[in-house]
Amino acid sequence: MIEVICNDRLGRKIRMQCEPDDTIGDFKSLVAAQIGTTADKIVLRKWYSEFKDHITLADYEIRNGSLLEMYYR
Amino acid sequence: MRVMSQRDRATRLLARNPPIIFQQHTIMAGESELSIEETNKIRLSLGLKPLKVDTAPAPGAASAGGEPVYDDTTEGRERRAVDNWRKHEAELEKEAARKKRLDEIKKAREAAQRFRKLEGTGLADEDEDVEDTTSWVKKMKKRQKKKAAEIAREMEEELARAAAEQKEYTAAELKGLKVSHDLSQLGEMGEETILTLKDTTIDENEEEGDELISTDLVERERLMERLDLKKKKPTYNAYGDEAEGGEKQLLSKYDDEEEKERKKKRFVLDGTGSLANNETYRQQVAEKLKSKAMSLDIPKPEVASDYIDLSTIKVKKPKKKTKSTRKRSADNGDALYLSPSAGAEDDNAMEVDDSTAPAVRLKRKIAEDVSFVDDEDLQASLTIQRRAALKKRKILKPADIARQLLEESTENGASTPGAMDEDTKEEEEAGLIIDETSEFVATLRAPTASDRRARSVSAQTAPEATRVNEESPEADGDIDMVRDERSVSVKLENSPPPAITSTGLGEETTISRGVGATLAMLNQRGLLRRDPEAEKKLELSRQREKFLRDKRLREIEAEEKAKAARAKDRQSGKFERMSAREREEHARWENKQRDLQESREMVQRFKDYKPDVTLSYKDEFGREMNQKEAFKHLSHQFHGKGSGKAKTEKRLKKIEDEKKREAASGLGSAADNAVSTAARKSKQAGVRLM
Repeated sequence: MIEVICNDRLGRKIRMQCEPDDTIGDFKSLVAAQIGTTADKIVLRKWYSEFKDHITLADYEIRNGSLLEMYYR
Repeated sequence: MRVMSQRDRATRLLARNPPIIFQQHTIMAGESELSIEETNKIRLSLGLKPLKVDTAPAPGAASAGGEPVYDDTTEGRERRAVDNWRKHEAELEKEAARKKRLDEIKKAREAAQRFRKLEGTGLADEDEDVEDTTSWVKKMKKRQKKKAAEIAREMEEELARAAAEQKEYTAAELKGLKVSHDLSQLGEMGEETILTLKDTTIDENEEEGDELISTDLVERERLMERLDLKKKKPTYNAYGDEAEGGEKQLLSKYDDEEEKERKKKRFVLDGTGSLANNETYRQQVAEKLKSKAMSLDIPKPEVASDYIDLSTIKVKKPKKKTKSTRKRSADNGDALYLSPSAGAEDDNAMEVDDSTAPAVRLKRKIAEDVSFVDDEDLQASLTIQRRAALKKRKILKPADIARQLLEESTENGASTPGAMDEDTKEEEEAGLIIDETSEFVATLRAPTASDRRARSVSAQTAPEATRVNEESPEADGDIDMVRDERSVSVKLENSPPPAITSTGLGEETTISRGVGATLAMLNQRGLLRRDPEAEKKLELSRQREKFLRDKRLREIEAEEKAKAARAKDRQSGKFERMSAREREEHARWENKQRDLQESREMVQRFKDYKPDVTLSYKDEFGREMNQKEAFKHLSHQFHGKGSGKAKTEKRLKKIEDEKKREAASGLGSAADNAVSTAARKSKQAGVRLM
């Protein structure tokens, strides 16, 4: 289990517990369950690279304590 | 670096252990977090597997084999990595320690080895058994004895050697030594010969033993060899491979030096050291005497040679020089050897004749002789004669020449007394003689300005005289003019006009017979000069035109012939029997044959084809460009750039000027034009040129 922090710098900062082999899509739905915005409205990003839904957190090298930027579309 | 980063990571992970820690994070404001249970609930609702919560490995969790069990969670995996890392580190450390130990052992061993040499008592160390004086004295005595014995032995050896060296050699000791010369050669050398040991390498010496040679003889042999080489005998021997000695040799010229060396005769010294007693020598001499048969006939007297020996030849010194020349000419049987009568009138001519002509003639004569009989003796004698003659001629003094002249003139005078009398008289008076021939020759010189002017002047002043001159082919007028100019009285000969005048010159041509005659006259006088090159060019162009004409004619002929052949074929019904394709094939073949023939003919034609190639370059106005301009033009074309504005303008102006000048010269007088241009140049009006 790892803990990832998502921050949208607009007032929402979430700690999510997840598994490294969760896909970004799964992660997004988890986040959605927590913040109440639908998963397909959430965009996860690190700098300029947007994370794609079908790739796992481990593949993006997102580890325990990583910080992700969260945007909405 | 990688190792370092790994280590960093490991330490970081260790620091974060145990993973429960993030449950205890202080949750900052605005941060929302679900508990694991809640998350798991959501996950279940989403159809995801629940979170694996890692529990810290209990010390008792290790399996029976002592291997710790890692559960398949992130933390478990990380723990495993950390353990692995620790293990690896430990191994590295162990390895390093082992290496260090080995190094220490090695170092210690080396140090031990190094110091082993220094074991034992050194100089500084004190002797363990300190001698007392008696033992020391004993020791010294012993040593002295030993040394004395050694010296004595050495002395003995030395003496023995000296004795061996001082022993005298006798001839008997030379017995059995080889001498690398022929016995007879040694005999020729005289009573006593000094032989020395031959220079050899050690190997050779081992093989062959000592050898004696005589340096004199060797030197002589070498000299003979060199002389032989200089003689350059022909390598080819027409009559087999028999060498001079009668031995049969195959390609002896390629024999090695060593081979030759081997063939040399050798003998072995006996105990006496003298040749007289040598058995082999005696035998050889006897053989030689036997083989040489002596004839008892009286030698025939030699027939005297046809030619006198060169050394005995003595060219007689004649008493009179004039006579000598004549005599020699008679000897040579050459009537033209000297031409005294021809040179009688002119001193200079005489001299020239004398010095050059006979030598040349003699040479030619010699050449003829040589071509028939290749006789060196004759040639040598002739050269001697020639040289002597030349020497004598050089010595001739002016006084002698004068005397000779006098004699010859008197001889001539006998045949034509009247004229020659005058001549001789005049000669005695030593005045200037001008007769018709010399005068004519004088006027024949290249036409100079003064001459021409004089002529024109005379033409203006005495037009009648010139008319007379034109009418009569005599040289009257010319002579008149000369008389006018130089006021010299000349005796004229009046004779009827024959084909060749009394002066020995051709009749003068006139312009009264049309353009051809005029041209001929001008040509003859050298006024109209024909350019030989132009003529050649004309000839070439004519040839080329002829060639082209011929070629065209031939082409037409060939075409006609081909047409006729085709018509004949058609008539004969040859084509009827063939299919269309065959017909085509046939036609093609025919064409090919024709082409072939034509090309052959062309080759024949082109044998005497001389193309006259001239490169001419025209500029955009159609002007002929000279070499320089053409080069510039080409260069500009090549580089893709022209000359600048100023240069272009200059050129255009030049061209325009040229055009203008041409036009002017066609219409007006050139002088006018020149004046105007000069005026324009100097920017002044009305300037006179002269």
